[in-house]
Amino acid sequence: MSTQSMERSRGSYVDRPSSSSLADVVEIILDKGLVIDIYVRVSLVGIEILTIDARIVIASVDTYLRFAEATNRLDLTQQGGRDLPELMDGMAQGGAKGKTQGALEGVKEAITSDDEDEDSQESEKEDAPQRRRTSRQGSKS
Amino acid sequence: MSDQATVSPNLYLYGIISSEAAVPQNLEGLQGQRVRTTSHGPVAVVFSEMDEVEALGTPEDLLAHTRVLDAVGASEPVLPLVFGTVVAGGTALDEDILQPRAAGYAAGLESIRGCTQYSLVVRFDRDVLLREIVEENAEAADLRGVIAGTSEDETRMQRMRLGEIVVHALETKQPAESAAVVSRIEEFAHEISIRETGQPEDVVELAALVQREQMESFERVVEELAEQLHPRITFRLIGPQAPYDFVPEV
Repeated sequence: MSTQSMERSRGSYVDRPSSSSLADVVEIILDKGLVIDIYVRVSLVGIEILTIDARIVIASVDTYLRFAEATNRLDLTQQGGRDLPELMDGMAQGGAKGKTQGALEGVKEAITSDDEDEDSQESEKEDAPQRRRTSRQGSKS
Repeated sequence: MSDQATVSPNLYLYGIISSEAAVPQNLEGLQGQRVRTTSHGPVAVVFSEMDEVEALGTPEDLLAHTRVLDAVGASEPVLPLVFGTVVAGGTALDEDILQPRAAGYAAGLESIRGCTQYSLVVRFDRDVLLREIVEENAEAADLRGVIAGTSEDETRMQRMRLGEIVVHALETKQPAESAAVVSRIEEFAHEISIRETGQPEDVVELAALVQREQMESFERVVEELAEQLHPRITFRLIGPQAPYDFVPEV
């Protein structure tokens, strides 16, 4: 999600990490490579957990809820993601198609909110994951 | 472990190289140990000493394993051994490890000679795609309106449906994008290995075995693709690295 800023600062559209991150390494090297006959394989508990986490099944309830929440928060991210002329363009096009009312309202909100609102929106953004965790725990019971 | 272990420490093995190949000097391996080689005939094994086998498996160990192999692989063909390959101190690396399969290792090294690996991770930019999907799909747009300002418990069903639409839309868009990227990449790669992916944002993840003289062209085509597909799709390029995905059967 934060890759965009990294790309930009390096003057390239490709994110090229200078050294491999642990997540990359786990994905790339785990269970790859030659196996020799005589060797001691040490158990790798922590790594296995990471791998499982990286391969969550697509069609899970959690995935659906996560994407719904991301869609719900779109109007907030739009402010940082696009500048105003782009947003207006999107609005004009969307209006012509006449089938994007939900999105249009979101765009309007994003455009009409003052700078003063930005602080509260920022804090809302930060609060959101916590809220989600809480409500998920609640829904289990 | 055995009596021998008290006199000679265990050995951590990284990979197999050609016996003529040089390993970068002062290369630091797992647990800060110096990386060394022992050869037998045409092949050699890259290793370092290891005092505490019980502690093996930390993130630092994984990163050190990769760092050593990538450093060696930057200039020489290397066959990576699987992470966590430790042999007891006193094992004769040449006779016990190299000799039984020397011919197979030599053939394996030949098959990757002159090549290096890149890993390419291609994903949809989530927010750009979400906007696109909401614009394309009236039901998604409606549902988004319904859940606005509600808690997850209040509109659970609507959220599930919205999530389902979004995930399905991403899955529908993925194959064409993936095929376009792969066919372009293939022109500059000696061999490609597509990795399994599991997230809805994933477009494609692949490892490419690239001839060293093609490296520049390969990197350029990735850059072109990324620029062309920005901002919908993001590209992450790792490498050059050791050919983890192209280790032949030995």
